[in-house]
Amino acid sequence: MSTLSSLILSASEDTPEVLFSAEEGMLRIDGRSLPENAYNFYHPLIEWTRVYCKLFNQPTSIELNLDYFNSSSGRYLFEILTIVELESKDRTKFSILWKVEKDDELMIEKGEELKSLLDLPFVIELI
Amino acid sequence: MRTFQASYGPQTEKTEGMSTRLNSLIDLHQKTQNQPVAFCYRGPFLDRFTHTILEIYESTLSARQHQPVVNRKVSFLLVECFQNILRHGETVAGNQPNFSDDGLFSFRSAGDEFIINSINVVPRCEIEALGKLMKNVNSLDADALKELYLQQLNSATFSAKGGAGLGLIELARKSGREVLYEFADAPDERSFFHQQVTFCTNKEKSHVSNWIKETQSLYDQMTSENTLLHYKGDFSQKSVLPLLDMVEHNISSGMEISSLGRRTGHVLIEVLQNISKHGGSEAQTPEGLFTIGWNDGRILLQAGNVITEEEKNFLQEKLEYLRDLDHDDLRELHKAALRASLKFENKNKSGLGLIEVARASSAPLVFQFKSLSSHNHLFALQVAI
Repeated sequence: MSTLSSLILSASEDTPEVLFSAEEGMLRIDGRSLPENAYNFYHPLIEWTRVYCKLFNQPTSIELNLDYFNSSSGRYLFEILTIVELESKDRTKFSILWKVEKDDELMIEKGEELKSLLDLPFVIELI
Repeated sequence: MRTFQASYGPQTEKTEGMSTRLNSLIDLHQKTQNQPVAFCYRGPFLDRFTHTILEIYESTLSARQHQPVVNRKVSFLLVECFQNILRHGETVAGNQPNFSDDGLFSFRSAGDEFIINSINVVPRCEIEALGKLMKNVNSLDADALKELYLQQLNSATFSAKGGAGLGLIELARKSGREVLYEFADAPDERSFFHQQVTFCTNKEKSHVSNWIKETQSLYDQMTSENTLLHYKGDFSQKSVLPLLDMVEHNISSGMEISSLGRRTGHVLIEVLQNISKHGGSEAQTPEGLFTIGWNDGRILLQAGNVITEEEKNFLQEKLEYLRDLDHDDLRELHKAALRASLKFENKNKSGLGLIEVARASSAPLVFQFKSLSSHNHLFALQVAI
């Protein structure tokens, strides 16, 4: 059985809470993401996802519950999801849940945009 | 009484006829040229913003000032002046605790002075007594002020709004200067009470500058343009986050941030982060200015900074292109840019920011460049939300 330590980050004023757990088959990002240097924040998440896709082939939920994010964070979120799409052993085992408040047009549109760019099971859940 | 929040409703398709406030932003740049930091807020006044004001000061000015004792004194003066508006300002309903919706609070640094100007509205019948109190405090030297302070503390004759004149005495004691004040007529049997507290690092200086007239005209302009706040200073993340918090809570009516509040926050952060990326490289920290307010049922954000000739050419070309695209074109362009960004070497310059700003704006972007010298321009951008 492969092992990969969980990646857990608490939310800060400008970065979201992160829970990436191979054991639970869960990649969750929660909050708002506005760091000036998004690369520094997202690089470990990208590397973790890459390793996860290489080592694991199991049902996996990706839960994205974001208040909003800056454009550079958006670029790295897209990179994480692209890694899942292109580097996972079986992309159909992944499901993306994009949670968004029902009156939040901006985030609904962002979810729809990502959905249209990816060949992955992608559900937009209005809360 | 003015209204801060117009009716918002869903985004309209209206794309023409947006008025531009960029000239006001350019004026502000001109007027604040010798002020590294200038902040002005035109209410509503809520207790929770006391902390925000301190955060703005700490992240902008206290870092430049290396004497902790000065920082402590200025922090005290800021809190006292802001809460003074909360305690003594008139409200619409007249009976809500810790809330005042009319007035102005501003601070600026200029040379060796740190200046706090405030305006609150008081019933006209109270100005005589208030004027006497101010006059008395200003006539006393440090020892007499201390004595009066202790005397007041012991007798503790608190007014209905919780003050015993102690705040004013403390302002005079901690600033070590006369507290400047003036009254001006306001509608409905009320008066504007202007107050200026100045902290000067040069103790030898006998006179400090008086900003009361300037503050009144600022208040009039902000009222007529329905401006919530303006800020000039550094655009580092540390300085911008407390401003973001203040804006989001003002746009949202309750304690929770509404989707409009989040949308505004999103645009504000995107604009400020983008502007700082295109700033002149001479400054160690990115600097700029912005104003935010309401116009015709929308939120209007104007932001600007000083850029080089090269940056001007780049931005002008890019913004002229974006301005002419409709919502669908912008969405397709964003998708293409997002795909392409994965191949970029420079990880933090994906080119997505301005497209994002154009998409989030409910009207075409408005921008202007004002030449400052042969190499530098003030870049001013307006976004409607």
